[in-house]
Amino acid sequence: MATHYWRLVRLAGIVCLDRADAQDAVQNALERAWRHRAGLRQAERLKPWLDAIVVREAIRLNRRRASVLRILARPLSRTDEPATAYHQPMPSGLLDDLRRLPAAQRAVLALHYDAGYSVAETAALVNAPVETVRSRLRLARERLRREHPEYGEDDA
Amino acid sequence: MSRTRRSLAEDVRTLADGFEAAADAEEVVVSRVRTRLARPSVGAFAVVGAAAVLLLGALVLRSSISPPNTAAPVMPELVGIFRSVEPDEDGRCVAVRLYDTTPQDGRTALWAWTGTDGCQVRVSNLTAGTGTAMALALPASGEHPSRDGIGVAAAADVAAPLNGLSLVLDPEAGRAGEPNAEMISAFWSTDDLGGRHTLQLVEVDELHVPYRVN
Repeated sequence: MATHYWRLVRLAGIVCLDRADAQDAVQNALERAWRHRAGLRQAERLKPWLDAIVVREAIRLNRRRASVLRILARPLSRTDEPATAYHQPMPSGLLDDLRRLPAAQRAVLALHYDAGYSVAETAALVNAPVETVRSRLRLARERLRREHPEYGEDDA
Repeated sequence: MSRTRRSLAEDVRTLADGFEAAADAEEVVVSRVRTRLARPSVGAFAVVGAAAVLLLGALVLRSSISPPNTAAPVMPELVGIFRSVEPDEDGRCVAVRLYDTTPQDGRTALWAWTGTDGCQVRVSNLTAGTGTAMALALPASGEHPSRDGIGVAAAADVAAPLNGLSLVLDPEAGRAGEPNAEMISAFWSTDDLGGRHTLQLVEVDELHVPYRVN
């Protein structure tokens, strides 16, 4: 139970980069999952099924937040910043650089790097061709490596 | 990997750890309040601009629900992800999440699941601010209450401190052939909030929440 919830918050967090948005995305996703529960045919598929819904919901929420009006209206002190207080120091500017990535790229980073899905599994979850997922991962890595040369090729 | 190099995968996981820890650290308040069973009154559900309104939720589910399909063994577990507690000796309980972050539009304030034997929810302690707060009940099917007559909505201007936004669930809200599950959501649309704001579920009746988290 709790395992699901926290895992989903993690996934949504990487996509939204905002802890409140992440939790909203998870709640919205769980609500959606409940409504569409008939779509889950195999109990053992619950985890990837939920993960896919959460990631989609997080992307959707992120896009909504990304409107120009939203950005202009948001206060400077945002609730997503405290997330950094809970973990070890990250490379300077990494959060901002991640924010500049498209949400779809952050989604594959979350599914592949945090949730541990293979590229093929990630592709299935985001309903995209494997090559597209590979490309999103590559573009995200290249972008981040440009800003943070300390990231080696090991992640490729 | 070289010692001097960082791993993007590790940093992504570390970042995810941070979001998990942040969620875990948030306050969860549990309240058990008993009140009379109130009859429903059909209220108007005000439509607010989509950009200004996001879901704040209170989700409640009846204990005896069994999803009517092959997902039946799975979904009760999923439902338990929501904050909940064991029922008291009278089968009445409620899980309340007090969302005390600096408010932004449409933050989730509270959620729980219940059956629809009937319950009254009152949102209180919404202090100051401008905008609109509202609550409504939705059937598990997700259909809009104003469309099918299920559930009740309430709305209030929160320019002044709000105390007592009420939501009453219809004991007969469940439809024939469908699980009697209802979802209660509180929407909170604001445009100029300052300071701390809280929504608190203070009154419920006939709640049956069999699932436990933590």
